[in-house]
Amino acid sequence: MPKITNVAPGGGGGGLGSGTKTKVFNTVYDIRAAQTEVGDTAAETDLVSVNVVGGTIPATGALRWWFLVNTDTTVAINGLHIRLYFGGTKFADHQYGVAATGTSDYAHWGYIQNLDDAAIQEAYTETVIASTPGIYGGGNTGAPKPTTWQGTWFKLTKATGSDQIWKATIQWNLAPGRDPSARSLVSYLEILK
Amino acid sequence: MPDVRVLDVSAPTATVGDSTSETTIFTKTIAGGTLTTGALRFRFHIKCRNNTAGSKTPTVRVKYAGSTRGAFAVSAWVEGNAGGAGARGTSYLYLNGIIQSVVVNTTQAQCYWWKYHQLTYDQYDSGVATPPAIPTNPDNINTSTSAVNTSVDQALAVTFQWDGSPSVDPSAQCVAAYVELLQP
Repeated sequence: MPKITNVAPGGGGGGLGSGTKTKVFNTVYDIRAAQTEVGDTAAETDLVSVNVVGGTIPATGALRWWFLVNTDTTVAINGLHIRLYFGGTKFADHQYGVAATGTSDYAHWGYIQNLDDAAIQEAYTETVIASTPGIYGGGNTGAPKPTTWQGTWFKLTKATGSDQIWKATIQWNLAPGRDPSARSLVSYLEILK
Repeated sequence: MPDVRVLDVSAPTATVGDSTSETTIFTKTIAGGTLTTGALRFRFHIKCRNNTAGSKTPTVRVKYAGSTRGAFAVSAWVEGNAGGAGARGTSYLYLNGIIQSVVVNTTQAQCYWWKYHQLTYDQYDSGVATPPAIPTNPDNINTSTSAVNTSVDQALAVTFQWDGSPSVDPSAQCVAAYVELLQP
């Protein structure tokens, strides 16, 4: 049975959890550059929001994404959440501590795949932080500090036969003192059939 | 229908110094026999910083089996810090490509580039911020029909090369990498 097989979170070997059966090839569904620039706010703000038209994801298919979030803060001890929603349901809440001022990058990839039908899904997300308050932040020294990928599984029950909104949001724990303070540099969504 | 097998998700630590030498920022060995009638697909997020006034034109190369399969010389990609104090000339490149194996010969691979997306984005406070641009037709920008022996280990690599000193160390890195195998 066709499937997606991951390396384990962090880049090691391993396989998926239950119900892994997704076919390819892919169809590019949506590519976009930054749309929303987040201001100096601690409110949850959309980074990317895409309407996935009903029936786009086949009954044994999947929606996959890859996006990069760039942030900036003047608050030395801060934190942020990057959350993922599908059909109005929050299925991922990635929380990060931010230990220094300056900029960071957060790369995400993951997928939602229909299982036995188009109403029950399994979701998987992984993210990596490239914390770069050093040379990229303007004047400081020190090498970039990418960390390992970390992945999480989720279960969903959404009717993909109907329109559903896929979106990613960001929320700072404290107002970051920057405007803009975050944006999605690029997002890429594809359909696996 | 092929399967998808994720071969690598990584946050490479290799960085480019204040140098115009070609520097490897990502490498992954594709074991012999892994790529038979399938295809390798990859995505890379690359960022760099030019700490001199004016633009630079770095070249990013994607290599497979020791040969360059796609070279992207990005004109006026990085605007320097001419914007004044606090200016930051950081730019991003998003690469998305594929190496397709030839079905008629499972020990040879035909390489072609499927899609790539270049972003030009000056960092916050640069004073010269340019919104990122997505090419309207990014498909098939580069095709190589070179045959590669996939029955032995071959390296997939990405290199970065400045066309002039960026005057900062480190000056570039691959922020995130993803490589997968599509199998029938």
